Amino acid sequence: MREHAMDGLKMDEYALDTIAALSGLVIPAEYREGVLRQWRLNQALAAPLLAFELPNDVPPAPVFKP
Amino acid sequence: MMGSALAIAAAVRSGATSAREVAQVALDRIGANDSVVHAFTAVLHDRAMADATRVDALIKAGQDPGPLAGVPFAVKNLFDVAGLTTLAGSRILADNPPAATDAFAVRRLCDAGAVLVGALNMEEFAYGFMTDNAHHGRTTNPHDSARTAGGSSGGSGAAVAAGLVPLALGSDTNGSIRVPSAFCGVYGFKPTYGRLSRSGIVPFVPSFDHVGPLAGTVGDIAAAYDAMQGHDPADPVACTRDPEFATPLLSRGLEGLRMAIAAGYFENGMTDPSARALAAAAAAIGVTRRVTIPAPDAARAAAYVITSVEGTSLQLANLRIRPQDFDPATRDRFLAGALLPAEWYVRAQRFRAWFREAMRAVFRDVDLILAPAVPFEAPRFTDHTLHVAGEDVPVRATIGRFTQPLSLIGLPILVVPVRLPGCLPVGIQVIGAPFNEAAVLRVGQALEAGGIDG
Repeated sequence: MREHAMDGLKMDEYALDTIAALSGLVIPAEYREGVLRQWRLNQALAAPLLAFELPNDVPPAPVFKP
Repeated sequence: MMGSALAIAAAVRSGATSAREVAQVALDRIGANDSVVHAFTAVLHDRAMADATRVDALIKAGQDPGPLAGVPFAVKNLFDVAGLTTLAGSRILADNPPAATDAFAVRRLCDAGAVLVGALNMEEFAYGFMTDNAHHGRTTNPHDSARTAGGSSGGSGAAVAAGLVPLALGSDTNGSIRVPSAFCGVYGFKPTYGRLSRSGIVPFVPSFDHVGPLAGTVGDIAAAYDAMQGHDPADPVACTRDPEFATPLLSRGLEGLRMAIAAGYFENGMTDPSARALAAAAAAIGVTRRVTIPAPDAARAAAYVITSVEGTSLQLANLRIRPQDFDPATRDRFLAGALLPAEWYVRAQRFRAWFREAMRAVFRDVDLILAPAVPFEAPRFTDHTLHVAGEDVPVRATIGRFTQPLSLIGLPILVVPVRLPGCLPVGIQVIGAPFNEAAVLRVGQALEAGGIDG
């Protein structure tokens, strides 16, 4: 993991091949460019959420009521 | 557009015309004009005439045919229609057997006397704002065929704007009713999350999928909304509140309503027509106060993350075995959605809880908020970037700038179309607190009466 985290491009390729496989997905070569483009867009669009500092009093996870 | 739904119903109920005559007019118009906008994926001649015959028979027997007697309507093709395979814009579902029964919302409209004439084009699985569908074609904007009708309920917006039907149903997760309403210049309504049952629709993002009507007048929107209310145990999030009918309250005007314009984020990042539309609408009803919607950029991001994760989760089985059968644009989004870290999803849900509380605080001081619906006029299908507020922005990723942050917490929102001289239609959002639909529609009625829709 540390090796793949060394640069963004390798990390993206790692995500595509390894994380997708954990969900049972094989991403064929002809789809790779489009999926990588979308994955990078996802990271950019999610950035404001990741930067937002949630107050401590927000529950740590969605509340499940049995 | 066709005459309004309520005008048609009044004519049918009074005997001035028959439901069969109205249905035939709608079917003829669809046959003559749909090749231009390509709104329909199925036209239901036999069913329409059979339903219309039933309405006429009720009238002949002296029975009440319902408030929408003889009103032709059509539905986004993710609603179940008995006898029709529910496509949700996909090829993946095309081999499924036909639906055995109508979706709850379709059933309620038919119970009110409306006549279903067809199913409408959409983005595959409701994922996108362009209705440029690789399997079923692109739906064009009735005001300019080089431009999109918007999406994902593009067929619904185009069918109403082109005058093929006076009423259509769509679904809205990130703006899929509101965007095509604005781009096509029609009214579109997304009630509070849970207010209307979603049973019998193909889900996209279950935690904030909504259904709602598109129409040419607020009165028609209210009549359809009222007809679809009512608890449905088949939808686990459908509310158990008694119906709260909006139609009787439309004439109450604006008295007592505290209104404001959404400031900051919602006043930036748009082209001149969208900005002028908001200003014109606010001026028309005398709104000058401003309120700040907290953290809208993070709200939009949270909507995006939840959409990616929940949407992909529902499609994983097919993505594993037949990715080639997805629309390429949709497939890339779904596959990339499978890569998102779990922590992002949990964070998005935590943010959502925070945002809901923050907006409740805002609604303690105001009843209704005005905001733009779309950042620019309907783009051309060939537009990949547009120059907006001093920068080049990607079209598809920017269309939902003003709609995505709000549906995340299920607020009721009406899009009021605004047509400025020399411009294509855009729209404004009238945003209310949860379950305050009637007030939202009262504002829409006031704006319509003032002629804001051009």
